[in-house]
Amino acid sequence: MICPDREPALNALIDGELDPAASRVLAAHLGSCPGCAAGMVEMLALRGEMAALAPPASPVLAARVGAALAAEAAGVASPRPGATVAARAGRPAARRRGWKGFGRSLGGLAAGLAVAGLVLLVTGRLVRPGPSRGELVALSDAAGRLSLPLPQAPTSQGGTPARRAAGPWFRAAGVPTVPAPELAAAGFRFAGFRADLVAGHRAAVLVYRRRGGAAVALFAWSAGAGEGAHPPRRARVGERLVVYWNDGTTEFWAVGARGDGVRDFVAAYRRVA
Amino acid sequence: MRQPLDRPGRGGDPAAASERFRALALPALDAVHRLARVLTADRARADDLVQETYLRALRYFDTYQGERDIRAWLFAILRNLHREPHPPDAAPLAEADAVADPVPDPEAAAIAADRAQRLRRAIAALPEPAREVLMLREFAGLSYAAIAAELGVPEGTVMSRLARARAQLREALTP
Repeated sequence: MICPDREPALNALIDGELDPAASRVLAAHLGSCPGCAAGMVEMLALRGEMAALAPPASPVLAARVGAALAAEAAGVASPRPGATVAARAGRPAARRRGWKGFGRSLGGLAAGLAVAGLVLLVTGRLVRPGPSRGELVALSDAAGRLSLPLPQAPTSQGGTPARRAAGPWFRAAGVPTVPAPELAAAGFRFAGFRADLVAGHRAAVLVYRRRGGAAVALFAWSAGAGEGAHPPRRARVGERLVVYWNDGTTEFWAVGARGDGVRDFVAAYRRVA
Repeated sequence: MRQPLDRPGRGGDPAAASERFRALALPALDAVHRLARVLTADRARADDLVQETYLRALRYFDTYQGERDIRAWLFAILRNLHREPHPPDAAPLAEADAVADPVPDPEAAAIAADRAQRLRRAIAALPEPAREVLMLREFAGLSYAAIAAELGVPEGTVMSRLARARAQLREALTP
């Protein structure tokens, strides 16, 4: 249960609309209020689901809209929905297809696919099979909230996170028991672990810090039945870089700021773990 | 001739106006498409709505007020188009599915589809003022200030409507 008086501020925080002073006050409150902390996790999960509900436009649609605007500006009989080539030729049966019309126009489709092919060449990474935008947004949000004092795993005495405690703790939390290796030789210091809910998955989270301070978070959850093993792939979410791979049983997602050693981290983790 | 700043669609020849429109409106394509996909679960219908929104926007570009966020203006057009009656849907287009979201396995897909359907229904069931703020924020990506300007309400009202909308959605999705 979110404290009613904190609810607008929590919303503003996840929308990036809260000023730094108010953010610090709220972060302090989150550290001592499990209700608000859990509520915020729910709110972020909801946002991931909403992002998945409404994906960005496909290159095909972009090409189609561009072609329609060009035709309209050129004063050509505009390829509006409902005005198919067949319908213009006077076939009422085709007209009943109405809104689907433009796509059925062979000329329009060919032109659209030609432009789309060009777009795909340039932005090929957009259409490779991979994570949904919802998952990526949820991951990015999850990485973002690592800096907030959410309820997390116990630390050993003195406040140093106990790397060796991660495995048993993950097992008890019902998340994949992924290894938490020593990566100091590769320049990454172990900084903590926790469990989190990301895009509907119960995830184990490991946090490492590179010398100099930048954090890389590694999320891991059980792979779905239809997901095959694959080597690391990359995706960008705003200023964050996500490197993800699947070892056949577990999906791994490393998230960090772009240019901050995410790829080095993944190489080191996969070498040691 | 200098074109007045408050009416980007006015002045100059039609070709130049069309170019200005493309430069201003096409970057909003993702936002418009997201809004369309929330208004309708039908992928092909959403694509049609987006195209018709852009064509209508181009035709009425000379009425666009420059200080208004272009996404909010396109959203208003999209919403009006969505409310207009349209012919019954035909079979879905192969073209629209050319870049379908990856589907891991049928069972997971069914569960995800069910949740998405519940979320869609929950959004549709929101009171109009709350839904409008949620759409402008979550799918069009407008800032609180831009939403407040668009709706002519204080930012505090935007915040409280947004909080109410999200609380209601969380409530609706809790098993």
